Amino acid sequence: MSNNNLIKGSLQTIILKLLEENDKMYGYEITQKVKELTAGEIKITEGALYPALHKLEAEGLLTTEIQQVDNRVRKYYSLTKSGKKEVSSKLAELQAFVENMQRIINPGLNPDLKF
Amino acid sequence: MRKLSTSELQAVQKSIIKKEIYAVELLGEIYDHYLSHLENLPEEKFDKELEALDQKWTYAYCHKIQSELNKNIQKSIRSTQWSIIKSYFSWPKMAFTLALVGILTLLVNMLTWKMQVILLFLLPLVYLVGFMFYITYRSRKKTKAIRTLFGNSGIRVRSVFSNHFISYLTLPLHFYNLFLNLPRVFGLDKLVPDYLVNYLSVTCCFIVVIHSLSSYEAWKMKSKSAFV
Repeated sequence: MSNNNLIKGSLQTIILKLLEENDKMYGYEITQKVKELTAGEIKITEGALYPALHKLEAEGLLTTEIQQVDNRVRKYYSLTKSGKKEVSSKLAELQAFVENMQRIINPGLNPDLKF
Repeated sequence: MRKLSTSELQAVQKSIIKKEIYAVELLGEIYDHYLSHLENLPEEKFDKELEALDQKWTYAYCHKIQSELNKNIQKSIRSTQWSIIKSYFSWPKMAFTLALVGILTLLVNMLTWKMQVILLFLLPLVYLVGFMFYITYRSRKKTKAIRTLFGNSGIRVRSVFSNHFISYLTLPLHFYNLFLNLPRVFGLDKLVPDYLVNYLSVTCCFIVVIHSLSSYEAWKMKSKSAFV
């Protein structure tokens, strides 16, 4: 069911939402959390995840913290103040997109119907 | 979750070394990703899963992320420093900026040309060079663990953040060469009228000082999360 192109478009929103709920997370943890929440239906590929994380960090929406874990370094990502503000607007954007897609797929549905 | 054996850890390191990545920032992240995944699996699945990870993290893919990381780090340094510079022109830092310009103007009018060069240009430049050495030392110290793990790949493993940050620090030196040394080489410096020299001195010095201060503040902010 899951299509990589569809996921790519909403990956930033997924990351921001997860970090809003989990305070701080590292790359692998994010992939596992998405897998767990969607019962394995959506698998975020590393190919898309890390560039998205680095981009969000460069845009100032995420901040990082490096911790020593079992003789290796682990990079934790968390939301910055502007990242926290961005979550709601990104979610609203995604919500509106899903509603519009629904109208296209099911034109017979009530246009005022909210999901 | 289990602890990986020494030979398993070495196998992981070997397979990451093959990707010829030089960015410490990325090496640390990939290594943690590999280990986090493999630690959750039984010993008998190790080889198969390591191969599967290698197929996802291909040479080309790793180099693509590395090149994007370079761009993102440059963007991040630029935007951080620019936001700090902008803050010098807004209240309450504006008072400091005006005081700085006032002091520089007074100094320029009081000092001889030779003293102006020593105090207004050489001091900030010496500070920047010292700061560069300090950042190089700090970065090498912070990246030592990763360099030890992946340093024998024949590739100079280094912090991309530190490299770009040092490049930004050297900007005034290029500025100095381009606008002061080069015109002197072609004898164009004599074209600048005397009355303009003092204004130019204040402007150049102001830029160098603001650059030095904002670089320091940017480093203070970034040193908490980056290898600098």
